[in-house]
Amino acid sequence: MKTLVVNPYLPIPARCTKIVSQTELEKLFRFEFLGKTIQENFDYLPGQFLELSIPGFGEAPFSITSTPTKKEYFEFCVRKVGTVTGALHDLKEGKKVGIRGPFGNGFPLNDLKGRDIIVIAGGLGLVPLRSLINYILDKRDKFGALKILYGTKQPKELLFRDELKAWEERKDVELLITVDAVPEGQEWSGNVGVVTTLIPKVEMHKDYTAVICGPPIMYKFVLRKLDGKLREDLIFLSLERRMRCGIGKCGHCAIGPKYTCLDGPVFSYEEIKNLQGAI
Amino acid sequence: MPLIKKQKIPLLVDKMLKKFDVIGPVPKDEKYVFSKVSRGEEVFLGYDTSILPPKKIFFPQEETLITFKKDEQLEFKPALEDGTPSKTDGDRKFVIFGVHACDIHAILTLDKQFMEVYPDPYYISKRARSLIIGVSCREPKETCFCGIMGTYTVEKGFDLFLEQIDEDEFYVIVGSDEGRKLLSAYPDFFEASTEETLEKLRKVLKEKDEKFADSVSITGLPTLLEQEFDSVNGEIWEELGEKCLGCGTCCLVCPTCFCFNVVDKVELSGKEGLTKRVWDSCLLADFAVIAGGFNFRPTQTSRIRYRIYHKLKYELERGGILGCVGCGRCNIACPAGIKMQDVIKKIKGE
Ligand SMILES: Cc1cc2nc3c(=O)[nH]c(=O)nc-3n(C[C@H](O)[C@H](O)[C@H](O)COP(=O)(O)OP(=O)(O)OC[C@H]3O[C@@H](n4cnc5c(N)ncnc54)[C@H](O)[C@@H]3O)c2cc1C
Ligand code: SF4
Ligand code: SF4
Ligand code: FES
Repeated sequence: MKTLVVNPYLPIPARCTKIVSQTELEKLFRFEFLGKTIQENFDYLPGQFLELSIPGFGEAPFSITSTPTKKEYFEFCVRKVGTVTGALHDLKEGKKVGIRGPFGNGFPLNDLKGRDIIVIAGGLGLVPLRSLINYILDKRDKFGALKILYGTKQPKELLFRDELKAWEERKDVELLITVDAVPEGQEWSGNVGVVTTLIPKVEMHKDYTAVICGPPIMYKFVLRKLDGKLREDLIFLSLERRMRCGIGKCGHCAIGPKYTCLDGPVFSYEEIKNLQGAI
Repeated sequence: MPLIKKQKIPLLVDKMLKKFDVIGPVPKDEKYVFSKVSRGEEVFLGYDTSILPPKKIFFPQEETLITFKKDEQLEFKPALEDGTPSKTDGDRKFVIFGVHACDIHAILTLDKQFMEVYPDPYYISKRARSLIIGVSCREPKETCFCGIMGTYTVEKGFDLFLEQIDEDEFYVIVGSDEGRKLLSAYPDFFEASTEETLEKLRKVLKEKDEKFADSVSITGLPTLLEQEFDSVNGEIWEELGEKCLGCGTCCLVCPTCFCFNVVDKVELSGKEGLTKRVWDSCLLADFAVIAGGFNFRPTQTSRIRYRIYHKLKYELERGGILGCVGCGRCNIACPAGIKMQDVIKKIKGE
């Protein structure tokens, strides 16, 4: 038996270079590793995640929302829900955190290249999908059609508004947005209804590849709407589970015999269709 | 193959103590625990089962992973030596003397979990310094079901294995080069076996099959479980869910359970602290809760069903290894009287 040098539990310091408020609860954080060569050599796939550590508060997994085509930094978009996310929301530009990763499989770029793609995002699900969308847009000729369906509970929860606008204006992207409801005092002239109501509004042939991410309850309904329309091996879902280690050791993220952190977070529908407790 | 006389074993341990730390089963309040010994006589090879399995040596209940400095001084350092048997001499090897076959199977399961894919340096730092000397069990305790799991014998995962062939003799099986080296390092304690001892060994092993093997086996269990998830017989999960208190004790005593939580602790100064891992249990209500409060296993029924599936099906599917070795510790520890072998028998319709 050989003793090891690599320690997958050891965070590497990174500095926060920019914070942009997105909504009441979400902020976009830009980071750079302290060592220039570390940052230059840092590579990842859209759909992978990192463990972010704020010493004393703890560690939590976050999807990388930037695209690997931008080498100078990486970004998270984080909702404030508890201890670590609360401490992160209190962080100021210039301050440091610890980072481990990237972990997980990421979106299957090989299955996506050359294909027509439909992206379906619910709420915070847009965070990892933004990485994929911007990756596709940066390498536009490598991919076919790109249709994006995005839904949130209410208009004020929409993320990345500037980018949504830019995507909407592009001829090579079809973007449809909807909100579940429009509470009094908020302005909205677009679609109203859950994200599944957008599916019949877009034209798709059987060979479209679907990439889906949203809150746990969303998957069932989206899959029901897509049933029979697309190939099961070409529907990809990015799943969330509780995670502590990110490296297949702590057991928290298990779905049956699979570990979301190792075998996922992206699974094809074919792979998990019969998996107990997946959807 | 060599032989060792029972009365020579404490003397061998005394000799080994000059070079190694030795951890063995010792009596404690009418039960047994694996503990560091300072004299060979302390090792009690006639023990039935230990409260905690040897797992705690490689994967302690609490273990510091990282020490850190906060804020502008931010820095992370690995804390590798914490919790290892010998703190003063990090490279000193240690011998775990007297591990039963079922617990050796469990170590193989842990090896798979901690040494593959992202190898775990904390586990490996201790495991790489360990020598394992197994010892046979002569009678199954009434709580044990190694007969069902097929774990009352073991072929690998040890350096030496002592198979008792009569009241005062053990046949020594060599399981590794390190084991072979032990034999040549302590030649005075072993003697060569004869045709007669081999005959005794064969007889003992045959009797063992009669004594330990169960009419129920785990063959076909994963397939049966595939069908039982929420079918008509789903009742057995409801029944278990109602009984189980969700205390998590079964996981704490289990030799194959590896789940852990990770927590930060800040020193009084507020400037530095540490990140440690602590044993966790999938039977605790919040084990699979995510932000927003959504629980992927919201009922005790779903949680105990998950544990049993993990033990009897998922672990086999993942790595072809056992998630349960039939050691019976959970049976002894469970305040609700849930017995794993009863669950197996029920699923198998026996
Ligand atoms: C692969 C992956 C990618 C992710 N990507 C993102 C992302 O891009 N952006 C983002 O904002 N989030 C993301 N998340 C979710 C994020 O990891 C969690 O929001 C974060 O872990 C919460 O940590 P916290 O310390 O702030 O919350 P905690 O203080 O741990 O708790 C937050 C909430 O979780 C629940 N909870 C936690 N622990 C318990 C418990 N013991 N008992 C009961 N309830 C409990 C409660 O509802 C609580 O309010 C991702 C998760 C995964 C697995
Ligand atoms: S589940 Fe129970 S019997 Fe099986 S290995 Fe764990 S403690 Fe032993
Ligand atoms: S020890 Fe018994 S009661 Fe406690 S969690 Fe395990 S099965 Fe449930
Ligand atoms: S997060 Fe620990 S096993 Fe997946």
